Amino acid sequence: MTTTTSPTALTNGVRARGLVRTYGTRRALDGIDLDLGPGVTGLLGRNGAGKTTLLRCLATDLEPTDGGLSVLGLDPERSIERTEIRRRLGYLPQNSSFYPHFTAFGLLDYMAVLKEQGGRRQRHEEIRRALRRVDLYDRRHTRIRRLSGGMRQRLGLAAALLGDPRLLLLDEPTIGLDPEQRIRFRDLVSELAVHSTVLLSTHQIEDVAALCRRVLVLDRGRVIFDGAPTDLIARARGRVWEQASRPPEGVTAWRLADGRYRVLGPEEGDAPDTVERVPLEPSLEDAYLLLTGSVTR
Amino acid sequence: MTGPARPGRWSNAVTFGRLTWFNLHHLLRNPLFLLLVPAAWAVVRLTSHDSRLPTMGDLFNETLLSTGLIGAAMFAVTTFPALREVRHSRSLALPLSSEARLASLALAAITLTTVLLVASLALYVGSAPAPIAGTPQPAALVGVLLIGWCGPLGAIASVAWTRSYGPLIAVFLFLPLYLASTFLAFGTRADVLVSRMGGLFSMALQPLPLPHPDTPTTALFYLVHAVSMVLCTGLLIVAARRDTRFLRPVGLGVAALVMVGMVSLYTHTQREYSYDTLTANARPRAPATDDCRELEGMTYCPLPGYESWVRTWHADLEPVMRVLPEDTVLPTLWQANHTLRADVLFHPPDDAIVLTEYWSADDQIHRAQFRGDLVGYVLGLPSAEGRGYTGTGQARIVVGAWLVAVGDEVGPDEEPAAAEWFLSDLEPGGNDLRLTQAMLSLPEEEVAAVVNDHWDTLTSPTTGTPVLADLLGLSLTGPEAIPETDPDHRPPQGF
Repeated sequence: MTTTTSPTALTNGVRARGLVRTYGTRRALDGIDLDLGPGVTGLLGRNGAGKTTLLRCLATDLEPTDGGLSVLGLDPERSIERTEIRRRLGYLPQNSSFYPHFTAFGLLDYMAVLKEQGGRRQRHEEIRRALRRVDLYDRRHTRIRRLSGGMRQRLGLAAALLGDPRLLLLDEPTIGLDPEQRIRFRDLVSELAVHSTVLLSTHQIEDVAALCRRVLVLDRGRVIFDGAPTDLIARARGRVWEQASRPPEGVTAWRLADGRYRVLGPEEGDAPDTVERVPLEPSLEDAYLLLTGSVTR
Repeated sequence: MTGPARPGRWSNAVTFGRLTWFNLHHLLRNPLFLLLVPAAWAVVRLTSHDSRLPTMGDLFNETLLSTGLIGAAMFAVTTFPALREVRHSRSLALPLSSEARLASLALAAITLTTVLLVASLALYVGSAPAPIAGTPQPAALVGVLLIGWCGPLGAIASVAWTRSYGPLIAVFLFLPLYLASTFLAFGTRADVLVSRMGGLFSMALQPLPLPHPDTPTTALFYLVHAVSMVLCTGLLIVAARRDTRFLRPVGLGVAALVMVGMVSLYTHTQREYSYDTLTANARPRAPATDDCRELEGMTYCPLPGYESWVRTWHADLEPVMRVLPEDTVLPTLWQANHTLRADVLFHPPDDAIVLTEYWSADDQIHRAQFRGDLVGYVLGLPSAEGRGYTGTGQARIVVGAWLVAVGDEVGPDEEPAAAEWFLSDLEPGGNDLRLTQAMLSLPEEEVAAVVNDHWDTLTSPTTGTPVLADLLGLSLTGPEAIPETDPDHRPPQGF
């Protein structure tokens, strides 16, 4: 399941071997092997699959229970190197609740000070640049408590972008963004991914389809797919249909606008002869749902 | 775009320094800071006692008031960034740990508090109309500044434990509740509770039963108390960490030990420096006069640091001394307090008049009492402690009343306050009062000549008021008699 990348790429990326994180008796991560290099990698999985735990471990916010981990070529178990990782990392946590009394500029200034973005002038220039990238420059003096949910999300993204980090870990970054902002976000991440490693955890599969050359699917703390989105889609070929009648209980299907049903799962020979079915080209979402077993669960 | 690589620890130190500067900057721009700190300063200025002759005690109490108010203001101001670190920044995987960030905030807040308190202190010293009298006790002043630190550190500790604005709300509700309860809960059990809480606050600011620490030992006690307060607050911050099983019990345990030490210190100082203990330990003995100074026959023995007050004392006594016979035996003036020269204070030598440290040049009563002590001594009257002496009908009490009032500018409709205060303990009769009034309206030189010429007669306890009246050419009876004074008017009692 592990993709091999060149050793030099790891100074810009992540290497994990047998990564385990437990909460009490529950194994949130169960022996993850992973090499990440430049480019955007999508991280998919159902709620509770371990995506956020993996990102927190990579961001050094959470200590793995077991296994080896190297981030940006540094060892997060060593205090000094962990600090250096945090300084070079761009991390947007899930549901980040920023200090509401900060202005947008104030928050980024605080983060930039901690990330050692040079002297005051250089730091402020970098902050202005980050705010422009997420289209929040005009709101730089607005207090965070007065920003909408989407604006806060963009502000979090701006915080993660400070200093053009070589590793960007984004946990559900497009929640609350309107379509235009999502397109801007995709454009921005694509631009960053030329030189940086981006790990994008999301439930927005169209974002993964649009951005990622590689996708990881987690299930119960394990990587159950690691490859190109096209490979994942290829697995679903021949298992996506459209039909006029409602399929039987236990088959994943949903009603379309024209009253027909999109059906996932049954192979061509599995369906009753009486049902007239039209095979469809699967989407990434179809493939993901089929992979994670949502069809039968 | 990341900063140039530095060795890790040095890099962390730089980040810590920059974050501290950032915190300092944000504390200064906090709206509560801009509101509360000027308000605290205004209260200090409005309640300040602007003495003509300020003392180290005044300086200590002024700084203590500033500490209480600025400490409270900084508690409010620091609560907000403390909550930022404790509740809002944990998930951001920031390069400095939350402990280091809280330490940076604490450093910024206590730096700001110190600057504000030192500025208050410097303002007081700079605007003092005269050099501040007394011996400086740097340890006590450092102690006051340290107690000011407990405001911002207390904010961090309370936020670290509660992760909320609750403590800030509670503190700011407490003040109006406290004020309201002093009226509403008077005489109830709630009143006891409120007064005990107020007592705890006072104890935290000033644990000594003295007006201020004025010896190296008491200043050291004060400093130890202040360091313990800061240590205790710091330990509470450390113990608030949730992610280690070891630190919390150890931190709380050591904080409890420090608190026990503070209570022990409090108990010790309350016992050792109580009025009863100081009185009991004071022994009658002849005090050393090495540091005394003589001016025109009068010996002045100020406390260390009060040498500049000798001229003021002398200026107050000089009008009295000027009209006394040249061969009058003058007393020695001793300045004393409970910790320095307690022996003199509680067992004054026979030839002494004693002035406490709290004598104020701005207070007319203090000055009248002071002159009255000298006059009482030269006239052979009992000392101020010998209350209840009946001098009715004695010429010397009228002479005394005139002496203490000599040189005072009294308008035609004003009461001669100094003379009244002098007589208030001597049970004067109606004729004594009439004669005093009449004597004060005579030319000073005329009365002074009579007093000088008949000093021995007039200072005798057996010489009556009519003799003095005759010598002055006044009559208490007959058609030329001095008019009756208001029969309802009596000198004030209880001087």
